[in-house]
Amino acid sequence: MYKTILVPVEFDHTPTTARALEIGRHLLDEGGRLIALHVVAPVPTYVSQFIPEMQLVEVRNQVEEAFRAELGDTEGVEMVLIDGTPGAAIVDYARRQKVECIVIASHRPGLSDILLGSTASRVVRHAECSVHVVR
Amino acid sequence: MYEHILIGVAPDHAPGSGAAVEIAECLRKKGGRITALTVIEDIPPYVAQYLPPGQVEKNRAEAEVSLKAELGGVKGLKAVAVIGQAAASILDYAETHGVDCIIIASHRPGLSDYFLGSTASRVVRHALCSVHVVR
Repeated sequence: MYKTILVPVEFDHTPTTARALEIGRHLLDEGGRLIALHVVAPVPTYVSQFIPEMQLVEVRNQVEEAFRAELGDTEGVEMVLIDGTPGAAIVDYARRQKVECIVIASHRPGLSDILLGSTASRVVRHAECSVHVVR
Repeated sequence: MYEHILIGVAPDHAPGSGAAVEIAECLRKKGGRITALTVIEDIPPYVAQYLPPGQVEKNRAEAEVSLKAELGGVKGLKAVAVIGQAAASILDYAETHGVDCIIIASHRPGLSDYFLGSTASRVVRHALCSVHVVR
């Protein structure tokens, strides 16, 4: 159905992440690319100037580890870590990689009275490709 | 993946809701159902009084027949036409018929500068189930 599918991943969404990857696999053409993307929000400068550089490198490694743990079964999944503001970075990455479908969770678990989270809402409005919102 | 998938079809859709049907077939569980729903806008009373009685119902029945003719070839697919407001009727049908995924086009063809049409936007915000927006 789709040649390139993007699954944005947040670490506190575990059950949804697994479902999103499963949906991605169902929609993927044979030989297609399934990309899991995590966006690291920038540390504001008024904070980062007080953090030693080594600390930031260490945090980066921890993020990578958490990302791997979150994905679990990574068979056939490309892992990508980028910096930016989640909504804009996802839409931008999708455009550059010619992604044909984005599979995204509607919001964090537990925020059930929020109909659509801010990131999902931005992605569904601004993406140029199909978007599957998982609830 | 999903037990009951609802495809929202605009009454004036371009021929071949092919992509939506194909996506539905990828996403449905074995033995799952697909319903194609088209919503006929109700005619306001100040216009309806000049029409022959039963005209709206006749339009609805005709829409159902033509939707059936168009999509009838797909196994396990049911075509339904209802009278009402597009987004509200889609949401209502989904809630009352155990739909767990809605597939909808992002907007009418040609309105490409709108990021997300009004119906799709309402459906994606208010649905209680997953929503796949096709672009």
